[in-house]
Amino acid sequence: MPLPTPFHPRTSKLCTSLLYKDWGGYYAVCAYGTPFDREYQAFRQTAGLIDVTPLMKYEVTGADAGRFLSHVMVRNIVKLKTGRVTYCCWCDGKGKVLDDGTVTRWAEDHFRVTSNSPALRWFQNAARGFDVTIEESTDRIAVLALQGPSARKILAPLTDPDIGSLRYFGAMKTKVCGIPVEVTRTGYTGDLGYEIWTKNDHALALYDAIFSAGKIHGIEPCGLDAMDVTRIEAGFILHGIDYFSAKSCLLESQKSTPFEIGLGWSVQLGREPFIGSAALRAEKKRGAARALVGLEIDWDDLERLFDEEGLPPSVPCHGWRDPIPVYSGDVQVGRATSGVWSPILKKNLALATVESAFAATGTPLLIEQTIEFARRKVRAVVVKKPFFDPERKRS
Amino acid sequence: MAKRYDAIIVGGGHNGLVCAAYLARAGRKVLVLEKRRVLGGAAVTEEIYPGFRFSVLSYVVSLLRPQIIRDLELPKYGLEILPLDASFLPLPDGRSLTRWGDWERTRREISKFSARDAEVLPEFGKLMVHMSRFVKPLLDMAPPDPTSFDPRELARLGKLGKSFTELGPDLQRLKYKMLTMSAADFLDMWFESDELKGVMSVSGIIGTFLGVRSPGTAYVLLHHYMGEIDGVFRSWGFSKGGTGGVSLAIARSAEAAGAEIRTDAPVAKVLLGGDAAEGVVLENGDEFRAKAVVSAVDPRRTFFGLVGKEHLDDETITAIGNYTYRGSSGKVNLALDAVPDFTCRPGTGPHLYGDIAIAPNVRYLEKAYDEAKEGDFSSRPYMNIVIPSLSDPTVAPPGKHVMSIFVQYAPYHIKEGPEQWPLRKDAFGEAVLSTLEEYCPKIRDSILHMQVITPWEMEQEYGLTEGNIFHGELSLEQLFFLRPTAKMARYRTPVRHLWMCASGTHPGGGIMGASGMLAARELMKAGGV
Amino acid sequence: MSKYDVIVIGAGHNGLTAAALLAKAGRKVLLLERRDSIGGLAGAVCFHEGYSAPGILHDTSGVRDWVVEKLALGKHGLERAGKEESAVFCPEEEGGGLLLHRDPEDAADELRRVSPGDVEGYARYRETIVRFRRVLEPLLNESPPTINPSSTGDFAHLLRLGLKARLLGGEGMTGFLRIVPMPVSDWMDECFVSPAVKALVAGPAHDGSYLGPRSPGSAAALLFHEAVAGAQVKGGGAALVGALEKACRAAGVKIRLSSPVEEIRFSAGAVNGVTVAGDERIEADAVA
Repeated sequence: MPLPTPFHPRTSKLCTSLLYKDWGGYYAVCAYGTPFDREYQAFRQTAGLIDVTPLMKYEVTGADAGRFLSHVMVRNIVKLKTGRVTYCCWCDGKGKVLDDGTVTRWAEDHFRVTSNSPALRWFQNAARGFDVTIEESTDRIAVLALQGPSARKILAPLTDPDIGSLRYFGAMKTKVCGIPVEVTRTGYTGDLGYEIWTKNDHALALYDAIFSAGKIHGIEPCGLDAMDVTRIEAGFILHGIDYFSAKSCLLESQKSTPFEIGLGWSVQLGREPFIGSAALRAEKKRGAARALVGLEIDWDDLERLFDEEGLPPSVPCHGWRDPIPVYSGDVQVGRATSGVWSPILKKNLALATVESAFAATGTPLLIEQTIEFARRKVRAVVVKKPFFDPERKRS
Repeated sequence: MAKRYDAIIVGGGHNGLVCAAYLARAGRKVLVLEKRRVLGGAAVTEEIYPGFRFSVLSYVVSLLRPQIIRDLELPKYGLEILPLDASFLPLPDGRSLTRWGDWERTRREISKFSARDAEVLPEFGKLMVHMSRFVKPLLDMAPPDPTSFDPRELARLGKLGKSFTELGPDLQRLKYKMLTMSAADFLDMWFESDELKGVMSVSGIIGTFLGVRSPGTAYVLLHHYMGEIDGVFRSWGFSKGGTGGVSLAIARSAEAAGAEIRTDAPVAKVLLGGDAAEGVVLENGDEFRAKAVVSAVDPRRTFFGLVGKEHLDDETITAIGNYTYRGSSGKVNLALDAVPDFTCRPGTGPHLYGDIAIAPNVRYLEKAYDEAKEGDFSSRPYMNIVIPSLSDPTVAPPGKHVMSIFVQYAPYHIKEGPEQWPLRKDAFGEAVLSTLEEYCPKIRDSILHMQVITPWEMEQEYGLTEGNIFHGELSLEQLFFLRPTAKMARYRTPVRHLWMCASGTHPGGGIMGASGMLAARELMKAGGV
Repeated sequence: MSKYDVIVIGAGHNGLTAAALLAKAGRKVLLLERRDSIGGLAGAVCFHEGYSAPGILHDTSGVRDWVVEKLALGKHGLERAGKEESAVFCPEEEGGGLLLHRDPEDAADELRRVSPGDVEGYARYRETIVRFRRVLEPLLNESPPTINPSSTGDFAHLLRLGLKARLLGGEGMTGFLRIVPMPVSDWMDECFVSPAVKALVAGPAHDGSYLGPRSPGSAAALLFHEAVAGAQVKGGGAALVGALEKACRAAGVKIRLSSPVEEIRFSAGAVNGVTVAGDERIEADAVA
């Protein structure tokens, strides 16, 4: 049975829909109300407040912390400056991705790593020979994400020192209405936004401070359903959905390399060897067999197929995550693993893994669509990710 | 030597801009000339009171063609549409009826009035969605010529016939009824609650000089369901930053494609060479030449204003003269200090996030129409209200709000004569406020500023002839291949190289953009540019 | 008790016509009327001793020529009026009123006196009516087409109507399609100058309907009325009913007055007769 997060006393009062799901053993709100449009719109128009406490957190401390993480991660973490965050993944010895997450450097000798699945054992095993301590802090630190165009307007006046000038992927320690917190300018919505980290004891006070200050700016409590729409628009992959941890795969073909899941850009090879680096070097030279791409599904074609059945077109308004085949002509060349109808772009989008030969932007493909219990194929085209990329995210 | 363009668009409303954007994307050299300082025409945002951005006239986006949003990449250029979440009907007796996005919740609300209606509503909705499949292709096609024996035209007509036969006999009969019945009569076939019928029937009359009991108003009910099949789910919404946001996004898209847009550039006349348009001359005397001139202003202004009767044949003059306008609505915009408090549902909350209708029952609406028929504004009008600042805080200072009130009936032709409207303006504003007060008794205390726009001002300031928000009545005899007249229904005009692209052409009406898109396509197909 | 081919319920002018036509075609027909006189709404109403009004419906200009011919109503005493009686008179509050003839030439003098600007418009209006009659007449003389043709016959029927509309020519057809959904007030505004002429011409658009002059579709009502209009029957509805009755008797229709039908009887899902007051059962193959 899931546990409540430290914000539960507040979120449960607001969650009139009673729609929860289990996220890493915690109760996580899917949607506060039905439908969840307003929550989605808050992320894109005002600001949405979402409890992301269940994200797994590891505190990496010690003189070798930076060197250790450089050894584990595909990125050269030693170069990460204090007060900065980076996003990357880590692999097994064969260069297959185990998980992805953010790494924040809070001090010369203190980093925080987030992950989707437990990684303590993996990190600790890898830490042999390094002067480093790794502790899980998941259930000690409560985290709120405040995401959306008004996020800065809401948060900055509450903070001292002011987070107003915090840059994209920056991190700073500050106080929100006197409550000690850590703020990173990160998120999973692809919009302007912050994640605010605090000790469990301060969770409720923090929630109240942000929520009440946000009211005149149109703040909304948001659930995972809304966030799922935004993360697909932002082109963010989801562990366990768009790719699988090598640890959990039974077949070699189910595993992925960073190059195959669109994280090739984060692989920094010209440095000391790290876990998986030999395999990754070889793969980079060889070229990846697959690629994770964005697909835009042709609405007119979809509408035509529905019309042939005498039906108005319909697509779910939630993000979907049942993998479906992707074709080039009659040949299956991949699978789409998640997708959504984007309310802001008015486009039907999907994230798909396809053979590299079909990954170039503009490649015409076909995606399966079941209409009236029959499998049909709809035209789709490979497009650049992110699908939605507002300037404000960075500025 | 003046610069030469492929096409000059007269009028920077949303249709003119859409037309320009499509032409520019196809590589044509395009110039848009807008009379006012701001772009958007009737789809415009203006800061009338410091800190408050009013969607001065058009206030919700309903049927903006999704194809246009995609083709012109409007989200990339700043278009964001926020859905209207609910539909709130306050009643004078302290009850209220809210229709939510959540069906079961709506069912509970309607059950308070009639359990039978609550049961039948989803069936009704499903049928309407199904029938809108017949309407949709009409919106996305240039009207065929029913009198032509050209096989291509016949094929197009045949296609329409086919989509009609595909509806099946029952729906065909229903469709036929919808085209001829009044909204209220049509709803009588399904529902018993007068409150529900009242609020549902109003979508049949918005912007027309008809009442809910006037034949032909049932058809418009379908438009309400169009969004469902349009790839724009819950497509009724606010444009972020006000309705002008739509126009600006289109303008940016057009400019990115190379179109030139000038504001403060009122066009005086279309330059004619023989029977063909050769360009335009501005009021300041500047001349611009182009292969085609596309008018995005309404038909009467186009022909009697820009072209001039002296250059037209009798038939055209008669046809344009017969084209009716008869604006029937006004607009009141309020800058508010606080969220309005409705007696029947106190406090702020999600019931205010969508539209609020003052339309308590069918009789109320028909009475409002009766006053208009006699040449007066309704003393107790139908009002459609939105508070966009609850969803989009960028339109008002934090904690303050904008209330946008669409008011019908406010006939252009009041008995004193339309030019007397300025004398009636205060009384009109007062009628709106005192109506509102019956539902929100404290509304006056929170008003920081009130802007009243009568049909006369719509005409004088915004160029909407006779204050008609749709560039001419959307009545059956002025639709499809008859809009604006039988001879000009395909965006062409009797003046060679002069085209039309705005709401006075098919399909017209609302922020749809379809007229602009179809005109651009026809123009290019005909080799006009 | 004898069995009939057809029982017709109601001896109004439509019931009489149907009964007569059926009987003429050799069917055994019984016509049942609830009241003690025939004619229904078209029958004479004696409302004061010695005074009879020509029925509640007194406009007989719509009687179809083919009915008159087929039933040889002339032989049974039906006379149609000349055009003089087809004019409409509209009294005015001051002055002599306006007498409007159907024939534009006849109307010209009168119009010239009342509203000279409308002489030409009236002629044009009449021309339009004559043209549109071609499309509308078949609608009145044939059963309504189905809008969802399922048989070739249905389809041909629709196609014929469509072709007729096309024969109006491009402008005629679009003109027709434009006028049909209009409010009659708008159409009149396009045709005439004088409010009196407008009102007088538009009058019939509102007969028996809940529509006002500003209601869309009322133009179609006027168009229909005008397309239908022929000469009046001399003696009005009562004379028409009289002639029809004679035609019925001549064709062998049995007419029973004061016989209110209480129910239509069914057997195995099909009609097999009626019950008239007093629990009298009459059998028939069809009931109309």
